[in-house]
Amino acid sequence: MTDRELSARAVVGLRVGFALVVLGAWYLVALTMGDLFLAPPHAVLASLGRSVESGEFLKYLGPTAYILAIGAGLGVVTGVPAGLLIGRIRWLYFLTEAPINIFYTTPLVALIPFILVIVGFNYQSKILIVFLFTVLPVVINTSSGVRTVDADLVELSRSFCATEWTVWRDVIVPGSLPAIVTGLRLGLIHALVGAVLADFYAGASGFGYLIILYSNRFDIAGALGPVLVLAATGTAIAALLKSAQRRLSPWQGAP
Amino acid sequence: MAHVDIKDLSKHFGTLTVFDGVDLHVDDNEFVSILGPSGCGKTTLLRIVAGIVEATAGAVLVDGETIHKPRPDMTLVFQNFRLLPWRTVEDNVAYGLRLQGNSKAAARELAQPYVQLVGLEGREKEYPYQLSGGMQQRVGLARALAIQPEILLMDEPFGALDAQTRELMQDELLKIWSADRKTVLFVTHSIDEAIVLSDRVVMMQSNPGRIVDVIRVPFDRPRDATAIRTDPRFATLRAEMWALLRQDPLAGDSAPGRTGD
Repeated sequence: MTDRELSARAVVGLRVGFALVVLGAWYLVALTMGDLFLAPPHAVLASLGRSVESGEFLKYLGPTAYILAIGAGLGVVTGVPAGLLIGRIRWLYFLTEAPINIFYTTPLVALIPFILVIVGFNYQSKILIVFLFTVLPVVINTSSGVRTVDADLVELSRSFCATEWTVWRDVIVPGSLPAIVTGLRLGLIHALVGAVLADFYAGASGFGYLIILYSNRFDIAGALGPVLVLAATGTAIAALLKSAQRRLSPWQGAP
Repeated sequence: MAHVDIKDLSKHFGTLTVFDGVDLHVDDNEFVSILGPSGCGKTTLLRIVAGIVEATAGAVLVDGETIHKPRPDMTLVFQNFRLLPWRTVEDNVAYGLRLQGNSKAAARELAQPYVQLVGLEGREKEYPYQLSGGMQQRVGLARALAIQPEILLMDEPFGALDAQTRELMQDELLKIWSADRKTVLFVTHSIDEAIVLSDRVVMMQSNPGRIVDVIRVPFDRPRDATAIRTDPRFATLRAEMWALLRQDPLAGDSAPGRTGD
């Protein structure tokens, strides 16, 4: 939604143009400041290539993918139903509103040391960290989506003698679908952040640890490789969910 | 065939009296309009009859049975259409049929004649946002008719439409109703609409909402809406109803010490 309608071609041009500007600025800074400060893009890619070839990349990707899959998976699988219930059941909403807000505004990073002390320096604590990063945005967006479902449509459904279950199926779930997808998008991107932080703190494995290893060797190009991969993953998730949303909700008209 | 009895019905919201002591009988296959200014409680009255709002006192009976919740043989048409944005035209029309337990395919098939009845053939696969207001309300009407209700409750169904579309829809409703007569309770604030459509018009006033008169409309069935609008009796009836509605000065809160207009 812009002031002026933009053609698809103009949008692509705008994005490619901006990417080129960023790339140019990156080169400029890297080449003028020296590679202790910032490695140029081709050096990052070359280092990433070497890392993949030697098998190091996959070795460190594995643990991170593992904690991401389980932690984010659990976050989504529990977060969506929890959000649906919190949004629909009044007393549950009032019960959880304050705790969720307090928990959400607390920087989760600050809790990581406590989690490590309580749960231990192991996969369980890493999974818990990823789960906590994922679940809150999912719950918050889903429940607010349910709460903003058109009450008139709920009443319409009831006027045709619908049961609570059919009201859920026909009105509440489809009506909150856009908000649920937004929650998934935010939750999964938070999950990436959580996974890297978990690796940073609990160490000894994973992508985050790889970044630290290279940083300690002052190998900027090496450290930036995994960062680039993470950024690309996050962008891909966001784009994928956006297109899924468009396919799942054709009633919202042209994008 | 179904009749409605409203017995000494009252509705309060806290200290606010929406309406008080409403008595009304609607006969089998009778078309009755409830006409009144906004705030007289006519919509609330209809929602109580529909079983989606509880009365404070009194009762609504359909064929002698007290209403506590929506009945499967009674259905509402809303002013704001209330189509499911994520369902196509045919699936919106079929919605009530689906809730009655029909399979998707069976419901669509049963709904098809009603899609045709309201003139929406060829647009079955479109979504509500692709339709004009008038077409959206045709879908709403078809959805209500598709479950073949005994009683049709209509809450200012044409209130959100432009004047021209509104008259077209009135003509169409007349035609549909003449072909398949149902008991209709029709809420409106348009005098013309009430006269053209109804057998009887229930006149309500506000503060508190109450029935002040019930006027029988003398035109024969089947009716021709255009002929009625130009009939001299139409003007007389209109003036009579207008005078009744105007007795409520400004419909304000200053009920005591009313001095007339």
